[in-house]
This record gives sequence, structure tokens and C-alpha cells, in this order.
Amino acid sequence: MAKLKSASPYVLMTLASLPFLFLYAWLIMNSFSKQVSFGLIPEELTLKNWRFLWSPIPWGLARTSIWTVLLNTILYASGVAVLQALVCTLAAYALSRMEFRGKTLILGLQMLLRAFPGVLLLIGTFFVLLHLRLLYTIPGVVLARMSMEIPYGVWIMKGFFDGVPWDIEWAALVDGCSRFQAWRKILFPLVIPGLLAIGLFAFLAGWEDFIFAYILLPGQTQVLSVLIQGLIATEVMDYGLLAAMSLFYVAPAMIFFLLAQRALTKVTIAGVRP
Amino acid sequence: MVLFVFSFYFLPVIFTTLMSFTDMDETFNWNFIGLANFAKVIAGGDPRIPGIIRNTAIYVLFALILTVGLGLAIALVTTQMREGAGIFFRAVWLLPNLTPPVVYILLWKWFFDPTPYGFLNSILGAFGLPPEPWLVHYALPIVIPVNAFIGLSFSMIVFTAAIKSIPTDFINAAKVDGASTWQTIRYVTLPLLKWPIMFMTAWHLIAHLNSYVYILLLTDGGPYYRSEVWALYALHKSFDYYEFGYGAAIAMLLVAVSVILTLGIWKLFGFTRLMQPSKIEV
Repeated sequence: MAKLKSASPYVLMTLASLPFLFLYAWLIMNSFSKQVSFGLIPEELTLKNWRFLWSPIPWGLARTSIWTVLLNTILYASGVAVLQALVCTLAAYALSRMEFRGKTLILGLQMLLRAFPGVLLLIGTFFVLLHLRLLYTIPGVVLARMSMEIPYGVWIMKGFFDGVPWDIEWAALVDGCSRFQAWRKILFPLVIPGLLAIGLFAFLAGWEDFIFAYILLPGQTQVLSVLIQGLIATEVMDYGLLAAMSLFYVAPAMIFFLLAQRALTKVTIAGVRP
Repeated sequence: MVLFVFSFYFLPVIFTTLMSFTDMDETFNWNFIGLANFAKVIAGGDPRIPGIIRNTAIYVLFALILTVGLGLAIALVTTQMREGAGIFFRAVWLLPNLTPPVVYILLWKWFFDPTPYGFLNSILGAFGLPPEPWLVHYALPIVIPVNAFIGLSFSMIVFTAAIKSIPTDFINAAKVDGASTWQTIRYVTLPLLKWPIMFMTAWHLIAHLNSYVYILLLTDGGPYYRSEVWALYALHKSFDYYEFGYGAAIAMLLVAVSVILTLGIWKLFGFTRLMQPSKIEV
């Protein structure tokens, strides 16, 4: 009886987790086989599902090459990452180190922005991009996606700058550095782990993003998520092809997540307050 | 630089606010019609609104129960386990959060596929039952858990961290006093988790109210608006029917509700304490 009791959490969790395990096992099995019965047992192993790597993807009348789409996705994700890191560092430095009017207001508004649904921003962004003539282009969608991540990124970076003692910066200023030099030579190296973490998360956000690319980047220039969604939305779903392509799409994200975790472990070490 | 960034961020908000007072369509004309859009929503000019409010209420309520309740349950169960097993199960439940939305939805599409090859239908088939079009008959009941699992990953991690930070002395003291596992959880752990539970409830209330991406991908609000929620309706009105003005007004109403709720939560918890969400109050 006591044994039964100590085993019960394991049994319970295994049962509860089964659907997930099935789903992800299916994803891997199905990408390498012609058909899968009951989610796990593959019938006829094949690489046919991976043919999109070397031949164009049959999709309606258009023929898309996976590599152009991949390039678009990389451009999109790294664009978001680089801009995000740059903007957040500058904004967070200003908010952490300088006194100016409306500072509390900005900080409070940032919290409030969380209450603004993506839908509302999406409709507005659509028009901003329309007037900037950036609608349906990669730079446009990069700007839009990046600004969604800014409040979050600025908060994290502000924490990093707050964690660096004033004294270090003062010492640099006393030794004759200009404000910018002090930032460049003293502060910047100290917050690099934070910068990396933000960059990696922004890259992931761009890589995994669907809704912005779907609304603001339809048509010719495609990213992976929109391509996969397009294939899901067709009448007859080719599950083999979809599974293979999804794996192709998920794998880099997973690798980046592991990297991000490593950067984040450093973050906690560097986050010691004076 | 900072100024540029904030104006770029706030500009969409200002645009949408202005748009909600116009009857803008695909011709992009700024034609101000005052409060007509809002009147249409509130006074019943749109026959779909009551159904969508009902869907949103059901969706938010049950998704919230799942996210917080099940998240807490999983955190409690896995922390009772040996370290390795606990980490394994938590990793499994974290997967939905790590998977890109498109792939996550693909998996569920297959799970509920209406043809005999879908996962559930292949099991039905093994018992000689005919295939069932799950996403047509049970759209809303399916959308709720699929979407809630995303938030659940997050709340599970927060609860686990909170449980682990409870001093073991408390648990041991209860054990010495002869409390059973259930009693320890009920009278020691749960009262100490009051703050994270409240915070997660508040957080996910807003998050679920504003969620639409996964529903868009899974059912697109269908069949015939049966799983349509408020945020998704704003998106559909804007980008499918090109009623940008009306869509903006719907989104604005959602913002109003969210802002009121957020301010209420700030009042409830205190603004400064909300700034440090990771802190646990004992």
C-alpha cells in the first residue's frame, strides 16, 4: 500500500503527459516514414518527406524553394535580434542612469502597454507601415515585431545597468572619459551577458513569430511559419511533408533556446547588486 | 533615439484610437463618424456580438482554471517526485511553450484530424467506430485546453520555483506533527503560495482575454463563429472584411476592459510589488 502510494505521482504524471509524448514522437516518426499507425509505429521508412530540401515545394501554382524562405526567416529573426539589442541597450541606459522629465511616466506606461492586446497594435502597425511605405517588406515587419519586444527588453536591460555600481562609472568619468567613452569601455562589457540574452530571445521571437509575418508579410516574401501555415490550410494535408518541414523549422529554434539558457545562467551570476 | 523608439511604439496605439472613430474600409479614407462604432457594439447593431462575448467568457474562465489549477497541480505533483523525474515531466509540459505556434498547432490538427488517419480517429477505428470531425463538433472545448497548455507551461514553472523556495523546515515540522502529504499541501504549502497564485491568476486573466493566435491557427474561429473570441473578431473584421474602423473600435473596447482590469490588479497588489514578480511573500 505504501509502495502504491509513493508510485502514484509517477503513474499520474505519465498518464497526463502521454498525449504530449505521443504528439512529439509522431512528429519525428512521421517525417521519416510513409505512414504512421497509432501515432508511433512507422510503416515503410523513407526520406521522401525531406525532398523539399532539394526540390521546389509544390504549393498551388507557385513553386517555392525552401532556401529562399529560410533566408527570409533568418533575415527577419536576426534583424529583430540586432535592432532589439541596440535599441534596448540605449533606452535602458537612459532610463537607468539619467534623470529626465517623464521618466516615471515612461516606466509606468511600459507596464500598462502589456494590457494592450496584440490585435490593437497590429491594426495600428499596419497603418504606420502603410504610410512609411514599408508594408509587406522584411524591414517593415522587423520594425513592427521588434517594437513589440521593446518594453520587455528594456526592463531586463535596465536591471542590468542598475546592477552595475555607479562608482565604476564615476571612476571612469574622473579619469577623464567622456560619458560615451565610459559607456563604451566600462559599462558595455559588463552588460554583454544581458545583451546576449535579449538578442537570443529576440531572435527566437522572430524565428517563431507567426501572426506578424502572416498579416504584415503575405504574398511573395515568405517566412517558414507562414509557409507551414499555408501548407496546413490546403485541402489535403501532406502530414509527412509537414512533419519533416516542422522539424527543419523547430531544430534551430531548439538549439538557440539551449544557447539562450546558457546565456541566462550567466545572467544570474552577473546580476549581483552592489 | 529613445524618443524615436517610443513614438514608433505609441504611434500604432494613437492610429488605432483615431481609427476607431472612423468608418474606414479598404479605401483608407479618414471619415470620422463619432461614436457610431461603439454604439453598434453596445446597442446590438452587430448580431454576432452576444455569441462572441459568451465564447470569450467561457474561454477565459475555463482556460484560467486550467492554467492556474492544472499548473499548480503539476507543480505540486512533480515536486513530490525524485529530482530527475520531476525535471523530466516538467520538461514535457514545457514543450508547448518552446514549440513555435505553427508546429504546435500542426500537432493538434493531426491529433483531431477528421479523416480516419488522425490520432483520435485511428483509436476510434480500432474499436470499429466511425471517424469523428472533432474540430467541427467540439471547437470551443478543444480550443480551450490547447491554448491553456501554453500558459500552463509558464505558471507551472513559476509555481515550481515558489514551492522550491519554501523552507524545508516548514514541511518537516508538519511531517513531525504527523500530517499526511495531502494535509501538508493543504495547510502548509498552499497558504504559502497565496501570492504567486494570485499573481498568476491576474497575469493569465489578461493574457487569455487578449489571446487569438492559436485560435486563429487551429479553427480560425470556426465553424461559423463557434470558437470566435473577442480579440480574434477584431482581427477578422480588420483584415478579412477590411472594416478597419470597426475592427479598431472592437480592439479599443478590449483595451478598455484590459486597462481597467490591470489598474484594478495594481490596486489590489500594490504597484511596487508588481514590479518584482519573482518575489514570494511569506
